[in-house]
Amino acid sequence: MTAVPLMVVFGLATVAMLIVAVTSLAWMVDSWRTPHALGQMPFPEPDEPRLSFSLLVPARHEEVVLGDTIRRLLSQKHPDFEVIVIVGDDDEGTAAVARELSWEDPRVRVVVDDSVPKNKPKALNRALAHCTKRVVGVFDAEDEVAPDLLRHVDACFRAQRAHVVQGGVQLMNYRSSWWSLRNTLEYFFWFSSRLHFHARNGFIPLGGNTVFVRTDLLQLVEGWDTECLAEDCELGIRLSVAGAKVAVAYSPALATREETPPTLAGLLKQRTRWNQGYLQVLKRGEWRRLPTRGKRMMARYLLAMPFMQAFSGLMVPVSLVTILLFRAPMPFVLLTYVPMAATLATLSIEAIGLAEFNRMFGLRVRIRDYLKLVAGAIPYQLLLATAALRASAREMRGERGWEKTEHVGAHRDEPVLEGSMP
Amino acid sequence: MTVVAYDLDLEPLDLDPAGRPEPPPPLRRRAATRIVAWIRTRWIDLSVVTVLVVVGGVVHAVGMDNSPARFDDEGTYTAYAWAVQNWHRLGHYTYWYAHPPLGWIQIAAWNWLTDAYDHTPYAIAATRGFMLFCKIVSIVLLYALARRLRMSRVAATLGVAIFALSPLSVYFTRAALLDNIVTPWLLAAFFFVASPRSSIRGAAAGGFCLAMAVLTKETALLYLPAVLVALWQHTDRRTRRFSLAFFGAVFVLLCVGYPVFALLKNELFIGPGHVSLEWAVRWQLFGRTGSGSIFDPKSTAHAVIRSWLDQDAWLPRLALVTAVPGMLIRRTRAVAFAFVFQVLQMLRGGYLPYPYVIAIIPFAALTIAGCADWLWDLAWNRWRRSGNRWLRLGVRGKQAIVVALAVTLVCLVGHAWSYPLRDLRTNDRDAGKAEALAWLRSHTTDDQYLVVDDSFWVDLVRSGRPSDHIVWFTKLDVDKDVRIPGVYQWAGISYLVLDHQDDLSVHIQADGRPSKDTLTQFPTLGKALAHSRVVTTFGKGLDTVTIRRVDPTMPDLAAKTPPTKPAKKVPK
Repeated sequence: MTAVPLMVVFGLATVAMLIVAVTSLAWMVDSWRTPHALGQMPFPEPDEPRLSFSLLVPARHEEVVLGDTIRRLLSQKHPDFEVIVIVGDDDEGTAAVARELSWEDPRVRVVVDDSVPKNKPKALNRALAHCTKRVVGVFDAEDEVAPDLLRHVDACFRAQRAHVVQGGVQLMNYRSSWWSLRNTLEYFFWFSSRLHFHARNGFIPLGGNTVFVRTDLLQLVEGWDTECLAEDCELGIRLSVAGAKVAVAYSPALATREETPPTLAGLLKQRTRWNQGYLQVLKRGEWRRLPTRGKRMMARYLLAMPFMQAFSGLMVPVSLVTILLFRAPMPFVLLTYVPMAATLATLSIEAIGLAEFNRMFGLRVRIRDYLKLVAGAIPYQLLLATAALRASAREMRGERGWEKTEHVGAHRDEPVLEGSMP
Repeated sequence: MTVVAYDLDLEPLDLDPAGRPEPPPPLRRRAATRIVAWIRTRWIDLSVVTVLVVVGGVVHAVGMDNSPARFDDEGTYTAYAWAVQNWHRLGHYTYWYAHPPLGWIQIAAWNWLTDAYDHTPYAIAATRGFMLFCKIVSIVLLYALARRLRMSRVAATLGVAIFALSPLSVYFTRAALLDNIVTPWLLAAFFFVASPRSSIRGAAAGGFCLAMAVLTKETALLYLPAVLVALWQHTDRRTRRFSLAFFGAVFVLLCVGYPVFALLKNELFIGPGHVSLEWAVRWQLFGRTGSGSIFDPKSTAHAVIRSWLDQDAWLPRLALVTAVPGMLIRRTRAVAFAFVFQVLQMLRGGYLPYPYVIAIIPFAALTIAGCADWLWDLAWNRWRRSGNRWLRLGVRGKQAIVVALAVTLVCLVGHAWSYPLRDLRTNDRDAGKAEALAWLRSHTTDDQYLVVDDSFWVDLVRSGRPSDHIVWFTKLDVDKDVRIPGVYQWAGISYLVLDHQDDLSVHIQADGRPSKDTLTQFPTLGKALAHSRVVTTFGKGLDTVTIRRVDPTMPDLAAKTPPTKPAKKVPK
């Protein structure tokens, strides 16, 4: 029987898929695991601010959104911070906006990055040398930052004796397209739940912005890795290795608001970059220096997760085709139920997550959003799988260029959300 | 304004970028430390449970092969399990969705792991070994559940004692029935759902266990409302949606696996030439003859209830008395509801299976214990410490009444239980079946066709008889794969082996001849009965088993007998 080896392969794939599904589900809802745990999700109550912040904003071809972003940042209700805008020496438009801002407010400084080729980690490292405050924070040029954030971060550092504080980042334009809904939910679960889990377990890939690190620690580890496509994740790994205590906090009112990439191609590029970055971090093996075997296993699993998740999501269509095309033996066919059941379970938890998201952000629940959530499940999996494939292919061919995501400010035009900002 | 006291400044940086590979203590020692700590915090409960397990286990085990006498249903599940183990099929005949198959898959796993058939006097006794295992697991879970419902140790012990020592419970939990496998799964579902930290994991585990219970026997579905009550009680407003979603997703998706299995075999819906889940469900729900009202003294349902009360007059009555207060007290609400919901089912007047009581017993026991606990708490804590002087008034007297009540009840119940418990320990009700089996082994040959009660099937096949020559009597004319060679199937049968309960279910008359119903509903069996004479009988009364020799040359007994009144219906 030729079916036997095929069945073994299929069975193993099913088991692997089940493990991926169960762990990603468990991590997705980690913050809700008990009412007590849910109490740990938000920032602690702020007290009198005592620290100082250098806020880094790398900006490349961002002249449209940069002004608003910086002015908003300057309205932070914190007595002691500076904003450092990093612009490229070849990007006159953005540089002009930045200089204008520094004339308006002495707290804004401009650092010019003349490196070739340019990328975000190089820009950040360039700015690190100019930081004068106790804590470094990173924001992207299109971020909409809550004015109360710094006071809360200040308190969080001292309340939790943290070396690093990772605040929430939230995509908000989830009604723009079918995939923006899923993309938004991914962010929601990632920042409100999953990062908390990783922080608790002493191994965390950090986010790209709203991340705050003690300046002395950042200098000690010599800043960001300029060769890595996921410099944020990479920094998280090195800080975890150093034994840094990372505090993760997510309060809806304090989450930094962002937009999804404007086009599907943009999303694909962004995801490809992240996946390739994860792959690089995995290959580099910095995580092997983590203190315990459990943490090393977790690191390996976590860094490979985007790929496993992408391909396990594909098990459903593959199973369906298998049932329809082949007259397979009964146990084989019954096995195909497993990926489907796991997918349905995930879908139902995602639906509850959407309801929770709407509740936390005070948004109206609409039936069509749930329909979009369901209808988008398999296409989105296809997208993730494509990104994973692209990432692997690019990494194998040695293409390590920076495919930057463009921004149009969709999160600021979303009419539903106006008034819900703090 | 909240008062907060955080550090005033960052601590000095004390980190090494290269990492500090602190050698962790070896895994074994860490695990050992944890286990020791776990035991240390729970040693009283653990000692109590150990005692309960030993006492409950001994009362269950001593005499479990001898009483009750093995019967047809036990044989059927054992034979299903035997077929799973040896033929890798879901039954010794065509699987027709009478119940989901998980129950006998578990039996098969047990019998395979413990090599049970080789260590027990007869096949069903192997399965009864698994019932003992289920009982012990249930005892532990019942105690743990009582503690999670915030009952005192005394109350939890009382609940478990009722479950472990009631003669009704001992009698039924010994029998190799699916209901006894349902009990631990059901108790586990309640246990997990009653998570003290209201954890999602508990909800998911509860959904899993309830699904296992339902896939073991579909009647467990009737406990879903009570489990939901318990889940609601033990979840917090803030995380409830996720808890419910996890419970629901795990439970539904596992249960749906069963119809999906039927669908993939193309047996979900009724169709020509194959069995189907739809037909089985319709038959279970609408096709079975109802047992009548439990209040009608002539009904089967009444007889069933009567037989339960004969075993133990106290447990059902006490449970009924405490049911309503149990629903009012918060901590027993879910278990009391589980009990009440089942009682309401019985009042509906549908088909009332004889072992229906099995899964109810633990919940009845917990309801009684919970109410006792509440009363005790009232007398010793609330009355005594109450600010209300009227409640404090005469507290000693009231306490004395409670103590007197408790002592009287324990004495009365203990006395009432001692006789049936002794019977269950010493009486060999199975002797007739054992002799019948021995007779069949020595007086029949391999080439003869034996139509038997299922409690003999596995033993005969295991002793080398060709499996197609040993025919379960209910499968004649029903299963297209069962075919006795010859012009007339009945004429090919050599012996008929039926016990008292089988006689009733195929409507044999008191004089041993087939009735009109026998001939119309079971044509081949009826014809064979009509041309048979009793060779020998074994056992007494309800445990009688009759062996008949079929002789095609005999004149037809059924043809010329005037209708006589049918045998009185007495449950076995």
